[in-house]
Amino acid sequence: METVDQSLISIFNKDESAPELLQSMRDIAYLSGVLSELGSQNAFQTPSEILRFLRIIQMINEEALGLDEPIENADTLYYRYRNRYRDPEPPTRKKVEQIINVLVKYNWISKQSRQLKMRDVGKRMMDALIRLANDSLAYYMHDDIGRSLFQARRDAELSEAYDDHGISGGNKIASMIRNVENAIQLMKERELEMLADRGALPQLEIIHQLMQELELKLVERFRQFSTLEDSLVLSDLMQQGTAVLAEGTNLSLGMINKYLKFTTMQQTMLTSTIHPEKVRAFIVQMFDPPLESDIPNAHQLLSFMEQNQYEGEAADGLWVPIKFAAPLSAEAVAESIDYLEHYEPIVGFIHEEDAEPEYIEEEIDLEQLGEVMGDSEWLLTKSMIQTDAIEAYMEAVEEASIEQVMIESTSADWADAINSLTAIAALVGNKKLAVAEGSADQVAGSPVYDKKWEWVSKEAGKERLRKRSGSAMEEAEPEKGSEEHD
Amino acid sequence: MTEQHTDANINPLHVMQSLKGMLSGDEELVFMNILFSSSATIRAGNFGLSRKEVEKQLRIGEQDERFFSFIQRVNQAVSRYFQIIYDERRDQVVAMMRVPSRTARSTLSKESLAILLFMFYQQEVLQHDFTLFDQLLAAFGHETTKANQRMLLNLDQLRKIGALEEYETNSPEKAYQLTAIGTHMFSDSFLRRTVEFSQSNQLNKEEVLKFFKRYNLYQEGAGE
Repeated sequence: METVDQSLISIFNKDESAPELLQSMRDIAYLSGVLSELGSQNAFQTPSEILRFLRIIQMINEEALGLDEPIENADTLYYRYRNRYRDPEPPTRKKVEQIINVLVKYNWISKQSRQLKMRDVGKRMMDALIRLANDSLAYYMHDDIGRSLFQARRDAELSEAYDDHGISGGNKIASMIRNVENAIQLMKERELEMLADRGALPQLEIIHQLMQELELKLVERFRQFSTLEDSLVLSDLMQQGTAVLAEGTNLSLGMINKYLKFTTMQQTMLTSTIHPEKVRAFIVQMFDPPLESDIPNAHQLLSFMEQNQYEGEAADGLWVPIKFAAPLSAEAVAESIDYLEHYEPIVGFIHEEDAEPEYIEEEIDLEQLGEVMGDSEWLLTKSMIQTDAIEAYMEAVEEASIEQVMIESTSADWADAINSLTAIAALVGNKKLAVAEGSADQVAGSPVYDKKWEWVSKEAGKERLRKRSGSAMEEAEPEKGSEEHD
Repeated sequence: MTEQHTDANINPLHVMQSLKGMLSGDEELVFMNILFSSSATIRAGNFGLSRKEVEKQLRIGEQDERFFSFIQRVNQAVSRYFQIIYDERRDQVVAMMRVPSRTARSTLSKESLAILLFMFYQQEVLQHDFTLFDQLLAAFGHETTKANQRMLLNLDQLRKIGALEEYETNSPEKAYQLTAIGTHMFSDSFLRRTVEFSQSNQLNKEEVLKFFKRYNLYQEGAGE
């Protein structure tokens, strides 16, 4: 191709101040001028008036191409119009005159004494206008899926017509792919409907043909672009495009296949043999049949049944277990509405406890003071020395040798021994326990422990510990007793 | 009112009028109770009434022929719209409603329907007791990703409407069994179309029903 190494001509790439660009913009201004001038005449608001206008410029156009006799003046056009078109309300002579004047004003045609002549601008603008109208007409002649596909094909053709000659037609490939995507989306949405519609086969075929054509076109387009420098930019589009087209063709092909199988089946003979293995294979396939296969899935099968080809088939879809909710009384409804309207969530009340210390005034005797002080000292000691184990043990045995208490209450370990000994000292010091010499037989009867430490003197540890009772009154007597022993 | 209905017998619900002739007053009440046999919750197994409850409401004794006679007569009277089935294994009397093709498309996913159909074929035609999860995976799951998850999801749909339940076995393998609901879900027409597609041939409806061992369920005037 001769255009291979130059980029496409496009108004967006051209230098802003280039005279050609300004001229081309002026063309557009003429076009809009003509349209707005005509638009300002109220009669021109209706579609049929626009058609009449287009007919008139078509006649001028034809003359310019040499297809018709020269046009002398507005009257010639007026008569020619009446002659050619069967219009119940042809434009009046005045109307034709008006149109001619507008066209002359914007340089589309030149008015000479004996002839109306088309100018170059006019030729191109008229072409554009008529093409625009024809395009729209063709677009609207399709249904919604067809429209997207038509637009896609049109894009492909335009791309061919312009890009190949070095003139940019806009992002035609991208637009084409988008249109195909839209069409496929629509097709998917309407697939079940189409299968259910007995007359959908011709429509399906049209869609399929379009898809196939498009696939060819797109591949061809891509092949040409692959030589261009900007093919890199296109590689994304290419991938997207081929994927979309493949999906679309498969989808349409699958729909046609299913449809054809369904319709041809109606013409087969009634048979009575059923091959179970085929049934099995079919069920397995219908779980997730590939797009282009002739196997319908369960929903598509139901769509076919909608056609009601066998009598009652449409009504005979599935049986579904049902439960009717028991009717609600008006009272119950009112109650629940009331509940919903007046519902207040129950939030737990937050108690804020004031942690202010309370001071209590207490008076005690001077004699008792020593005792109270002793108690508090004991509590302090207790908080520092772990006496619980000893206390609990003594609670149980009442009387035992020191060594026995130390080991039985905790363990034979060195650390526990230290702990126990301090605890015993504290307990004795606070008059919770009493110490006494053990009698000879008591010493002999005490068990021998396998311990990890030794007393300094052999006799140590043989002394007896005895529990003192807690109350002050009873305390007096055993205290004396212990003192005697000492 | 009644006059109009008899004059223009285009209203198929007219057949409901004939219920009175087929059922006693008590039986009518029981039929309605079966239709209403629900709370608002839908859970698998929460369909219908137990046989004992039905018998109690009908005021008939246990093992009475009249229980089946009642079901049969209800089915004859309303067969175009409803059918009542008795699931002996689960002890449920369930009402099922006929759903036209168009609406049926939105009841279950297409995968669920295929799974149900597969199990239906295995258990009704081949007379297997149950279908193993592995068998389902082998049949359907070979080409798709996340096959396991997809299968469980669709099985759950079926379990929720009570069409199948897990089959209790000692083996560690998971197995499923159709319930009476499951075996009754496919309409005769659906089965016929399925088999026709699989054979690429038109078939006689009776043949199809025989194939699916439904001949004993097929009553004259019931399905047309």
